[in-house]
Amino acid sequence: MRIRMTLRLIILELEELNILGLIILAILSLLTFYPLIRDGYVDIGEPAIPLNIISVGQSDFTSTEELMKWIDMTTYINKKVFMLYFNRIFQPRYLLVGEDLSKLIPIFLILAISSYVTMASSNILRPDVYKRYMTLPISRMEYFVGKLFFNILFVSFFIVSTYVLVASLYYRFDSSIIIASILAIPELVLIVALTFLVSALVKREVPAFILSSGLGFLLYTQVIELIGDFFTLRPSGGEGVSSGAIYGYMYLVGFFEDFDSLGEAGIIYRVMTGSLLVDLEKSLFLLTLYETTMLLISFAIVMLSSYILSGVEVD
Amino acid sequence: MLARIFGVYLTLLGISFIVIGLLGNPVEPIQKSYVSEFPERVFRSLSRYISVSSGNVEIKVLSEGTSYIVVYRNLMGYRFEKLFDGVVKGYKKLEYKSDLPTSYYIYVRLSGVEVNGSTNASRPKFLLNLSIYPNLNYTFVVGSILLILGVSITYTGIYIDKWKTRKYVLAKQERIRNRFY
Repeated sequence: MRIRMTLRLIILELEELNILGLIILAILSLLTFYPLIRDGYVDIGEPAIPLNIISVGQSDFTSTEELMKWIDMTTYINKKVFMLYFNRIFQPRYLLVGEDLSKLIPIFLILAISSYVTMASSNILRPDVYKRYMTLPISRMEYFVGKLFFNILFVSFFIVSTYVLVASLYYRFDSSIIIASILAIPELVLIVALTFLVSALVKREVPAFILSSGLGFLLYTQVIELIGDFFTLRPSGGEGVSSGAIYGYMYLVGFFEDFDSLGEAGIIYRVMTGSLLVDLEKSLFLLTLYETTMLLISFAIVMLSSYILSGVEVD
Repeated sequence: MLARIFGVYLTLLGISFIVIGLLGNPVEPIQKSYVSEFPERVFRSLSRYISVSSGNVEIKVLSEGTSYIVVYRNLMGYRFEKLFDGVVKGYKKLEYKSDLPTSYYIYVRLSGVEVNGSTNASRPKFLLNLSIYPNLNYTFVVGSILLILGVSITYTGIYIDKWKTRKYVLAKQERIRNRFY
């Protein structure tokens, strides 16, 4: 009975999603991923594997076919890593796309989130929608918490699933893309939650949109990188990163299949990341901590937004 | 309602794919050339790759010495096959057509003195020219499929909603009629 009630509530909430906001979100998300995908699938050049690794590989193989299969596998892993940086989509310097295109990625994504959230916030405060809480055995605050969480998760899954769908149509579809995308959700959740907070504070659509877009950029250029750096151990000698959240993440997703027998993949991984001494367990621990922190911050922001929204008088 | 949301989403996705196909088709082919020299004493190998969603791929080889070339193709990451395997001296042009996202791998082996017999003379040159002529047919086809699917789902959703409403109205009319007669 309880499950049925919850399902009915979810369907009711789905019916109240802002369709125009969703259409804008979809268009802007696709514009976000377009340069990313286009740059990835029309490609020409040397296999993205360091030359010394190719020469190491060559000596291990008896036939050219074996060697080419190996180059194919390593190039694919590299492309996987390219997709994995979806998690760091707000840091275009990590992407393989050109400098001009990379600037468009966060702009479109932040605009997509801001436009949807500002539209959805005004929808939440619509008297007929808002008064539903009176028919439910919950408090006003609980109603807003649920509503915001639903919207935030929906937007994050929407963006992520669009990426998965489009990327799978141009690359190979496998479990790695799914895992990579799921791990990307906490960062998106943080951005969406903060945009909801701005909308709750400002209340009016246009100023809320302008302010939340600005805050999104600030978050992308400053805060997320700072949080990322905090969970990355850097050696004092300056030879690059030795262990960090993102590397644990790459290990987990990029080489999920080869987890037990790292072999060549391990060598490539180490060369790619410029890290010769990698503490895998520490990396994974940092990754978990990083993702959990993101989710906890988002949760706090949702609670604060709900508290503010529940104090708003609705005519 | 859910079906309609999903349908609208697929329609948008389809339209976007078609727009990408219309706007993203480059007028000029994408080209890259590599010039190399045959090594003096040992062999040297090169490997290059081309990825394309759909279109034509051209591989031109101009080799003063004797070079060994192998071309492999990987279709959407699922089928790995050999396309060309042979020795080239002089000019050779290889052309391939792709309708699905494909990666091409070219492996070249330039053997030094063992092949051309020269030691101190000027080393023979080797030129590899790679070109992609993407046509984005794949993008169009996928876009059209998504568009048709999206529109059908949206209309089915609307039709089901109408049918449900009609069924509800008829049942209500029936109940009212039964109450009176």
